[in-house]
Amino acid sequence: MTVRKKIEAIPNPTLTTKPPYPERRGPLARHAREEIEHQLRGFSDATTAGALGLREGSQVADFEACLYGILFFFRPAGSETPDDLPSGQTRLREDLGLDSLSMMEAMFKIEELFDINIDNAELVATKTIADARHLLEEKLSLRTSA
Amino acid sequence: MNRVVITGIGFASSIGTGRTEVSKSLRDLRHGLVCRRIAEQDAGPELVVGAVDGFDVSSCEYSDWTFPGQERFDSSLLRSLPPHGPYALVALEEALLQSSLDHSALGDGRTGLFCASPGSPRMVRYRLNRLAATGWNRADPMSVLSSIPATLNFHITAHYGITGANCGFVSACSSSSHAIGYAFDEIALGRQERMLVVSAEDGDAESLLPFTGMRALSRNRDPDTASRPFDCKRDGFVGTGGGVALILESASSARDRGANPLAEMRSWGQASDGYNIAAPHPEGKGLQTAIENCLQAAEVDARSVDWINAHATSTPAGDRAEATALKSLGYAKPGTKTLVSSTKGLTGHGLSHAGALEAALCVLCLDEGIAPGNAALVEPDPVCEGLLLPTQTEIRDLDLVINSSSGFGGSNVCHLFSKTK
Repeated sequence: MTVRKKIEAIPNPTLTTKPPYPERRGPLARHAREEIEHQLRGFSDATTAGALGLREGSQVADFEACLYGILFFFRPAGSETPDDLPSGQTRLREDLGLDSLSMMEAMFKIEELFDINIDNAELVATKTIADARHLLEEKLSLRTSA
Repeated sequence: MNRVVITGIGFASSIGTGRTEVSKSLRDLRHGLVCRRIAEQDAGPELVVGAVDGFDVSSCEYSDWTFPGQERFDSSLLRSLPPHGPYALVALEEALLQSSLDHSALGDGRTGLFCASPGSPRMVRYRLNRLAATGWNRADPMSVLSSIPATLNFHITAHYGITGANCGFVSACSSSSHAIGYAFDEIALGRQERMLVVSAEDGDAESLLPFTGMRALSRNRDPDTASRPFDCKRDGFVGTGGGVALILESASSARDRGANPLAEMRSWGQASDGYNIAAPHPEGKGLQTAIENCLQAAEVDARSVDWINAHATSTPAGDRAEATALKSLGYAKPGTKTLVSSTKGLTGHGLSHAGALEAALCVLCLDEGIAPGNAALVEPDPVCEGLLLPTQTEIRDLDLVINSSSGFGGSNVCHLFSKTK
């Protein structure tokens, strides 16, 4: 049986985007940081660092690390870390191997981390890395501006 | 009817993980019980409970768990399991290894799986609390998978690629005994060549503390004497978590594979009390009938049984009813050779997985020629007069062994095992 590889090195961003949080927020309170670390136990350090960075500020690299780390985590057992960077066209089901349950887990993890809600139609429409990225950008931007 | 043999057993129990440790505990009468508070943050009453060494599955997050051989299991399997999942997996891996069954052989369509799990009250509580905290708007996708009674079935069949029969059994403390009984039928009737029987219990605060409401748990805080089946001073059962697995197989399949049969399962029987939702029939009528049915199916005389691994949980009413049933069957008559003991004095009461655990202990004892003594039995209840209740483990060549189980509602099951010919 293959032990899941941790995604220690997250590929550089391949999509240009504006950061989802428009302004830097500064360090998180200790309890908020611990909550994120708690929620991401078992995930790669890079994923946790990305989530913390995303909550604290708005680095594009943080965004990539968090999103990719979560999606990669829920791939099937034995999945290898790809040599090539995932592109926006990388398909979540066909290319990364995420089945419907894994997709729901990944989305639930994102919902919990960022306190957002993703409805069924949005989940069904999320087919590629770019879709996931745009969905999360939109949710975070909406929440930030609210 | 096909003959049925057992070619593998596996344990993750309070008296040891793996057959070697379990055997030593049975021989030395070494119990696996400790006294502690089992609710989180050191709350609740101090209780004597079974402790499964080497496992820490107290967290509701799988990523915190530690257990023997966990590197063999991927997070994609573990993340939707209940806390008793690791017990079941470790026990099953041992049983498969002992049976020389490779994982690749399990998808032949002739191999099935019967399980007994009560689900996980802990995971139900945890997931529902989290759901409620979101205003009932955001449920963890693993909420159902990690908590319902079928949880072992679908995890194990999917992970091992089992394509034969697949079912879960729920009859309270006789659940896993029913699983074994119906697994026997699958093979005897030629529907399957082999059946994996797996059962496990969390054995935590959420599983055990509700029994305090029925005054069913022992209040004795001494681990050496709290679980004392058939003793005058017994005052309730001692709960335990853990897991067990057995591989049942047609004798012809075992022979063709060159597998070593540890024991033969000759028959089983069941009957109900039809009396009360929780209390046993005072004279153990249902259990008596279950044993009679079992013996009749194998055409075996009651007096020829060498050892009975009694269900006796150390509750006043349950042990009394069982002793009365055994006396009605003639096991207290002068000249009887049948030893009666309850291994729960060592293991504690495994609730739904108790029947399979004790069946596996019967198989081990037949294979090794030992009859465990009644641990902590000092002063037998007068109702047991005439029964042979050994207080030390006896080295004895066993030929016929009975395992009895009783669950709430008077759901009684009996298995008969023999040495392989």
